[in-house]
Amino acid sequence: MVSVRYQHLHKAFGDGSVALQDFSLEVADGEFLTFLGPSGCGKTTTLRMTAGLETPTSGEIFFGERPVVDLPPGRRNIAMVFQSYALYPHMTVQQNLEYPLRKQGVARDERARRATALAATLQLDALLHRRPKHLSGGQQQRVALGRALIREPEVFLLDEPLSNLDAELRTQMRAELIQLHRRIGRTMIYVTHDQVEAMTMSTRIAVMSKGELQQVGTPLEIYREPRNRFVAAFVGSPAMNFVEGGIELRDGRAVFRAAGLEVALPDARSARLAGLARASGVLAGIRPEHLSLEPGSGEGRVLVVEAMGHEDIVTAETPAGRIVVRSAGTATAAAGDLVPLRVDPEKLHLFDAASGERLAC
Amino acid sequence: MRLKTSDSLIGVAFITPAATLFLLLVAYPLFQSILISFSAINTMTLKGHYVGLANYLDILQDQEFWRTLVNTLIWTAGSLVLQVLLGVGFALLLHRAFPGRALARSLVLFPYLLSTAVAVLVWRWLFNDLYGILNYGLVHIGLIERPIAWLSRMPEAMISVILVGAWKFFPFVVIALLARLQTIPLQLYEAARIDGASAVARFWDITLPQLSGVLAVVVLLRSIWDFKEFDLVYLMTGGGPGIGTQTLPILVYREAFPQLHLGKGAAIAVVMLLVMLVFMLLYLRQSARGDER
Repeated sequence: MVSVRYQHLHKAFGDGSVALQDFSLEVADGEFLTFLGPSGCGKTTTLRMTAGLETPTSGEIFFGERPVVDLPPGRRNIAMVFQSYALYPHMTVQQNLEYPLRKQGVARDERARRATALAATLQLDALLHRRPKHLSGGQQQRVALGRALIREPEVFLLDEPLSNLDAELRTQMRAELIQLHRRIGRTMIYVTHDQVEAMTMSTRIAVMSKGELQQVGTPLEIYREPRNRFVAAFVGSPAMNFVEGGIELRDGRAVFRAAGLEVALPDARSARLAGLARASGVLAGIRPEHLSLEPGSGEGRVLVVEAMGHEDIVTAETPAGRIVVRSAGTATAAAGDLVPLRVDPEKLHLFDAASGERLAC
Repeated sequence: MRLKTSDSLIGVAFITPAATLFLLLVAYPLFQSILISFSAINTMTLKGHYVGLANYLDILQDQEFWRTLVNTLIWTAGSLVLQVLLGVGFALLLHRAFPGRALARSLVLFPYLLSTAVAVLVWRWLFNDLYGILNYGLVHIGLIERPIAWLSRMPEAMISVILVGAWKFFPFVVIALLARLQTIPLQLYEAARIDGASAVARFWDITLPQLSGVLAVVVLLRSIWDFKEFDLVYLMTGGGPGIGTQTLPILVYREAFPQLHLGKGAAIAVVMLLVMLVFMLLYLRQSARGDER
């Protein structure tokens, strides 16, 4: 059992492109930490450096107190599940499972015993003598997990392991991964661009963009208090609406104001916002679930209604731009309607329009 | 599915040219050779008569035939083993990234593209006992005291032919293996590194098993081609010294033309065909298995 600590990690490639800049983070022992970000944000590079498949340009990685940057992958006591699974195609399921043990010099009987036991818990016992190509995607995924589990590593690295599965299987495997993590309690580092995977499985999420760490926090912290515009836009589905405007003080009360939209902020926030009043340069972030089709903040013309059954996703054109609303119920609006819009003032996110940073309130 | 008559006619029309060429250029000569092998025919006059199995019985009792068959097997096996070793080695080298790799990949094809006559001419120069650079070099560095007559002594002549054969044909192995190497997913190697496999272990556990299918096909094809190779051996040594490097195709040629025994020559060719048929069947089985994968 071990924690993983990244210290001022930096990675530049031969062509001059920078994959990771001054990355520092501590992954606690037994934690399920997810690197979340779009492709090219440096998350996979960071994971590969943790595995030893890439060497950082500078900086250090510690497993517990042990620096590992100079250790080859085979001596880091880690296991990795690849997006493509990377099962050895010419070996049977059993041989695949036993391979890490074989390379550690574990005796044949012991290997077979552990592979059989593990196969039983992963429901692979009937498939032990098949080759990977004769398995379904879900079964291959299980074998890949099994090969990672069998050596009982200190750190598990998972590189988008669910992205090759169909939607239904992915949901099922998410639940299985959560249970697995709870059962073995090892440190797991998970890479994904899928915010649903990150939100549902992680102890904490590290949101990354363009080689830089944007925010680290529990899924709820990331959702409730995104530190900047990037995090706010990346997490949440449908994505957060952004409206540019200003903050003015009216009778000692702070009001966010944009073209055709006004939100009076609650008293507690008003006090803190007083010093930040300005006519423009404020970006308001409003999640679709914090809007309703009621009078209060403004109005808009409905462009599209996507009926989900239990709710409608309503896209409306307003003077301040397009706004997406999650409206509970059925047939809450029709295309062409002029609808009222109300923003939950408690849930309004405010950012500096120029820097994208969250305003202190 | 039932085809309409007009569709069937179109099908026949498409097959006819190829089928005609096959019948004229492959099936007919083959049939003729088998027929001739049961006759005693003079190559010049083409006159002769049916003798049944006499040519075959003659061959089986002929010391020269057995000696030649052994020569052919030695040549085929020796050259093949070297081709595979060189082929695997060069394929692995050329698979790695290094400056000038594209050029190196083209250069390695050179022996294979060179006309056999030209290649042999150059090698006979190099091997020449009077002015060959090989003897000069070996004497110069003190490995041998006197020049060696490479092509007119045994076993040097056989060794020379095998070396030149390996040099001439190993690029085929390189191309086939290189193509396969490039399709092996890199993640297999990464997974193996994480599982604790050393570089040598990764070669044995991943590279070699992944190459095995192509390697089997290459070995079968090359053994068929080496077994029936005529020009390289004939031009290098003419089958000599004596019959020291005489292979079956050379024996067929000698019986059929200088000796004018067309029937016996044909009979030897048919025996060769039977031997190669074994390789062919193995090849077909291997490629059928490849399709299954």
